[in-house]
Amino acid sequence: MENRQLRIMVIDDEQIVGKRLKSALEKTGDIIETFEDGVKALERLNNHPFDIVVTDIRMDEIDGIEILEKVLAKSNQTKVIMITGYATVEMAREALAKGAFDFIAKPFKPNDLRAIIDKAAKELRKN
Amino acid sequence: MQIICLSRGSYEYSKNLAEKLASKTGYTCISREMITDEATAFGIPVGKLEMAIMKKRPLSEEMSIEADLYKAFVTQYLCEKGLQQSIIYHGRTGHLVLPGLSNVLRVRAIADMDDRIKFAMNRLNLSWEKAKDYNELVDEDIRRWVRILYNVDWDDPSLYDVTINAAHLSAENAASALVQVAQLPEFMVTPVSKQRLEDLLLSSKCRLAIGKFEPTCDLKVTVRADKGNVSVTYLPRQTKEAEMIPKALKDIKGIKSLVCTIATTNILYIAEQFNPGAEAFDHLINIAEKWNASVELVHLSYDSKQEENGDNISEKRTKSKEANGGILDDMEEVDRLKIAGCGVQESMNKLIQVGRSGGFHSAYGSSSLVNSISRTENNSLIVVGDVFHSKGAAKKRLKRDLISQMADKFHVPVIGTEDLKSHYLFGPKQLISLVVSGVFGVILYLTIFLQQEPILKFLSSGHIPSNPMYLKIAAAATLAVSVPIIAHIIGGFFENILKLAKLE
Repeated sequence: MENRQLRIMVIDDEQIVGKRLKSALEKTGDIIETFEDGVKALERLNNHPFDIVVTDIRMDEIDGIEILEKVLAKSNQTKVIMITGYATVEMAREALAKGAFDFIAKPFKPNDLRAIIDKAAKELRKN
Repeated sequence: MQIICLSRGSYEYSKNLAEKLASKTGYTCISREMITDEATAFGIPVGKLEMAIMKKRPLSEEMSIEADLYKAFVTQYLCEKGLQQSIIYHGRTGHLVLPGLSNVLRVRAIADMDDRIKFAMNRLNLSWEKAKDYNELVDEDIRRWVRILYNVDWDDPSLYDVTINAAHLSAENAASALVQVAQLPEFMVTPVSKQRLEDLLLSSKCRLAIGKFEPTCDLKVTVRADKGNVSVTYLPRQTKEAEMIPKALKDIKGIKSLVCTIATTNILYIAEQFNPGAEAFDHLINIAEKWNASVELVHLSYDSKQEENGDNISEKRTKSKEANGGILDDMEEVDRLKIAGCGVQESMNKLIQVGRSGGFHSAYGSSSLVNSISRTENNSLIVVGDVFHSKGAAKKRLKRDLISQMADKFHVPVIGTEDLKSHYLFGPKQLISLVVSGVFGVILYLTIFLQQEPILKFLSSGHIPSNPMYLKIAAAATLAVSVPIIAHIIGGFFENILKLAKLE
């Protein structure tokens, strides 16, 4: 995979998270789509592949672990990064055991997430 | 009101045991997850702390304050509940969250690894291998969490009253046994234990109030309460901010008196490059422990670009609570990155673990260094570590000059890391010196004691007019030479004795 634009999906039921991450991550020229509803995000994923999915863990309709399982069931090339304010090591280890690429706890700076996305992009290029 | 704290060595079994115990006793069951959720909602980034531990990142000073606040939050939560009703708490550090309360029944529940793997396979839908890795990694993370936050070993059996093995005892029977144990007089509430619980509640409330009050939120403090009398100890470099502590605590009920005291003493450690794994760093910690001092790191840099950005970088905790969904601004990271790779974070982490962190600041160039030290009060010792490492052969000379310059300016001992051990600690070299000077001293005293008459006669020969001049000169010269030598030997002997007794 060459150095092309990444397609990144951000799922968080707090509107402000998507808004802030979209503006911060778009600065590097990647394509960012944000969703507050996990179900709608999965529907979009069925129609359009994404390189990276950044998802909150705790959401009402569908939780991040379920999204992780569904995303990886559809494409194990997609890198899933979990974000949450309520992280515990048990939860993070569970997500990683299920195939999550990495885990980041709120509050964080977009640069912290960007560093993880860069690592994921490197992995994608290797494949 | 009784308190039973269950430390979970196996999540499923322990949770089950806590619930069964609660149903048998009628006590309220509280899980760690309930408290961490409330702590996060209160504004303590528990998740960030957990991730820092999991990813083996050094705990910054900012995060160590958050860790203090988290511990205070847990203590406050349990004390409040425990004063109203009997409770059963289950979490990873159930045995550590209420320090000093002897009537708390501290239980550790462990389970066979194969059983835990099967539980994880079913609950998390994982393969055997992944479930095994999951359990092992979680255990490792928890061990690190306990070590970093509480500086004890999670597996230390002396910290528990009872250990229950799930392989030998069902949760039902274990709960029945614990009901009996809980009735023992050792675990009953007494007026003294109730008072201790109230004191713990008050001190944790005060710690949280200081951490949440904007002008004092960066203070690294220790709060103690004794029958409503609160004492707050802060670091010497935080004297100015500490003036606001009474204001931070003005709304806390139950404070009879408030005393804010500066930590006993401070050791400044100046270096361009810090190495927490070095022997000298351990010596520094040993001295700090002996003196009950905190160690403040001063990162010395000669990078002119950094100087332009100001002479003092210290981390600031994120106080912004406006709606940002947990997504902060990027710009604050810049300064911290500049000192990455100098070992500051790792050294801070080690000091935090041993409870000796006095914070850190940066100084750019010698003049900034002198200014920054002038601002710091109550230093007992200034230690100069690895400095001028880009100066090649001149490094030693420049370091010596810096030490002598600072020794002239400040009225405290200034010393290089290489001399720490010989000056302040007792090692094999000091033992040899102690033995040699001791033997010499004994021989000297015995000789004087047994030969008093001739010695006195010789030394007093100057007073006898009939004595020849050469004898008078010899007596005076012997006194002039022997008195300082003997004083040095005896002084060295007692200096080492005091070092050995940690009384110097």
